Amino acid sequence: MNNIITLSNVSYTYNRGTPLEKKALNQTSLSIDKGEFVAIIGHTGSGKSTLIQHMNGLLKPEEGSIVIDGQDTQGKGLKELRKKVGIVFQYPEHQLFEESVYKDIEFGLLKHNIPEEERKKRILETASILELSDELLEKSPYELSGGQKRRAAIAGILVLQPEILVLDEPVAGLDPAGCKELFNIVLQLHKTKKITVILVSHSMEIVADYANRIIVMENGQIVMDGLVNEIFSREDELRSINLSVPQIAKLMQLLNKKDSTINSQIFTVDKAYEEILKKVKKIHD
Amino acid sequence: MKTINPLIETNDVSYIYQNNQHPKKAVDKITLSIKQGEYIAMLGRNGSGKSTLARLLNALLIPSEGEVLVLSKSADNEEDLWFIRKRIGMIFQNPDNQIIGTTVEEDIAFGPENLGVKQQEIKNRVTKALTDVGILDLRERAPHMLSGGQKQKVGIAAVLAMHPMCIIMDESTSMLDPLGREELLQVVSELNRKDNITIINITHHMEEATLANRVIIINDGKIIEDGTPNDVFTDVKKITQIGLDVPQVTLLLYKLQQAGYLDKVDAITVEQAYERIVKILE
Amino acid sequence: MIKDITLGQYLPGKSVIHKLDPRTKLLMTVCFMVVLFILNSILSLFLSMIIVLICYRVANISYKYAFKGIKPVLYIVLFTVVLNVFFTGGEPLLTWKFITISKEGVNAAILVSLRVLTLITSASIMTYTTTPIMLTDAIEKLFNPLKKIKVPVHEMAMMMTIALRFIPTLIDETDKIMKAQAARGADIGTGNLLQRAKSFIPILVPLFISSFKRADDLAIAMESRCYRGGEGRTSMRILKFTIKDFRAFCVFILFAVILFLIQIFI
Repeated sequence: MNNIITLSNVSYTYNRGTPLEKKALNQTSLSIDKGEFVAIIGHTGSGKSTLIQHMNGLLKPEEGSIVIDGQDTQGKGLKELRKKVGIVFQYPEHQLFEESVYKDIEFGLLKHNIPEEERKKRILETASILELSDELLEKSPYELSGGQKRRAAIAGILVLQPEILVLDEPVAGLDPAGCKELFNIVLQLHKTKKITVILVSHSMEIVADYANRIIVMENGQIVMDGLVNEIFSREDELRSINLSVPQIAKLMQLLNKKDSTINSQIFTVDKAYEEILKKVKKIHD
Repeated sequence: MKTINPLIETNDVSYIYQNNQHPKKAVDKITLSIKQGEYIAMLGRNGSGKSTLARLLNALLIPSEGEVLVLSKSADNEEDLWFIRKRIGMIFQNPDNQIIGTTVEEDIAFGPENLGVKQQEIKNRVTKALTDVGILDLRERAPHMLSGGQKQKVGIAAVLAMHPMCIIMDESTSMLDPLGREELLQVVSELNRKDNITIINITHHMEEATLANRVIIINDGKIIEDGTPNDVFTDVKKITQIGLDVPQVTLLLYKLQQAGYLDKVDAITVEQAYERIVKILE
Repeated sequence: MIKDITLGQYLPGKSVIHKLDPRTKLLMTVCFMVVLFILNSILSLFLSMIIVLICYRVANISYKYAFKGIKPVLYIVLFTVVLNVFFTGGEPLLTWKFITISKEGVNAAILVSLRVLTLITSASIMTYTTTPIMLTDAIEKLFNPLKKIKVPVHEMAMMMTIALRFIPTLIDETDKIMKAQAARGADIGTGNLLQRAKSFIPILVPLFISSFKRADDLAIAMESRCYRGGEGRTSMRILKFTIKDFRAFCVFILFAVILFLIQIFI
């Protein structure tokens, strides 16, 4: 495993010296390996957005340092860095501005001086991954449906072929089916292209389904960091900072109290189903 | 406010969007009756027509066909239109885009001011509404300094100050974090329970629907399910087919039923599911 | 960046100045401005500056905060000072190579900078102590007679209110869009003039689109809350002149007279 993101003692304060001063990050240290799928949870104002904005140099740490794939974000080469780290902000469709979807996806490529032939190749490839048809590419982004707009905007980031993909609440406002579609695409990219994914989400169900590591933030600090099953088995601690665990986790913990041979560290429907089936079969034998 | 008639009645109501060359039928012959004091969750995919239906209910849209009656009054008559909007309040998806005042109290006063309520009475109503929603301390704050959840509470208070009989929430929780969502839902549940205000919550979130006492599912402009949360969600096949979710535990029970270990799926909460599964394991 | 501008943002408080009728404050501010332009002795302008500073004290606004607010304006003041000091002819005070500083130049520079600073700080007191909506009310009421000649006073006031309400929201949004475009590799505000102008398109277009969407949403929200223009509308805030306003006016006139007397006799 090799390290791709390293934060050492990073602090950041908004509106320093005004009545609105707020310490958003407080001596945060973190390291993420290449190929991980990390979820960052914590409620609004816990420092999640500030943290991710440090990852491509949109914000620079006031104290401490951030090294992305060997490059310090304080130094030069911000543009290269932003190609490497693709951040999809909340409601990314608000960034669409070109006259056609194709041109909008092309925007980042032009900014990074990618030659035309390569641009075309990448755009078509990205569009097919995100299931944007050729017909859609020619349309104005404002004619698309909500879900299509979202995917077009994400394409604008993915087309830069980032090694790290940061997603801030990527499915906010989408319905369950649209949500699943999008995550399956992300998961596919993660698996086939070995992209490191950092997901900020409020939905514990989504986190349980897709991530393998969870970072919990509270008051600008990382208060928990571990594998999914490890974090979700600490329900009381999560509860104390107003976070919850997936419904299934609650159910399995209840069942475990009744019968301690049932594995309580299960957070997805499929795993729970297997576990219960195993138990039932044992009883029937 | 006891009424014998249903609060809202729709008869074969349709709505067609006329923009560009392709007219789109968003609501297709819906007949529906809503009583005072009900707590309804309305679910459906994006573009299913649920928001259009909501806007028909408080006369923001006028039906292309059929009729909508609020306490037997129809929006065709100019004066009744204002009566309907006063009685059926609405809060929207983006909390930012519905706050008109530059402070919380001014925003809440906006409705009563439009109704021509006297100054002292407006002040009383503002205080009452803020107290009911539990944000009296935010009275003089500027809206952009509030959290999403607080903004939506302002939205609710602003509607309350107009003395509504029904509050429609048009995906009002979709931009909130879990804490904000929970608090907002608590407020509306309270209003429903204490003041018998009818709540219609339009949402994608299945957990929210389990709080209601009636769930209506809309697909392609038509009502395809209408019943108690338990009845509706346990029809797992139909719901997943149209691209909606059921609660995780319901899905688990459904899988167990498919495998032949359960005769029916009838749980939407963790506690209910726990009881069912314990039974299988005995 | 844009968020750092604090000049003129309302600061809640309970001081006498906060409690004055907004019309009083507006009228006094306008009159004070006229006075400032008539005054042309350093002493009386200096005294008017002191009066403004006393008002800050009374309104309970820290000088530090006020200073932060006028910081951006200081450059303009500095510029005019330089212009006046070096380019006003007259009795030379100091000569160094080809640069000559005249007595008149220094005098004019002090006058201008005092006048501009007093002007801005006094206008800021009004906005620091009056909510924008109160100001709008004041303007609506003061212009009310114009309704008779079919000027849509209510509509204009409502538009102002909405603009005031949405400025912070739009600033936030601009910030977000800038970040989103930067994340795609956009460099905003660099290069030559044309490139710079062009680099704002990816920010302005989305901002316009979202503003239209907001306007649409807002119109629906207003309709759903029974808004139908100014007719038959009441207001929670009723403006009333009180004895305080009368006293404030008296104090104001007293000071103005003293300032003029100083200018004439000293």
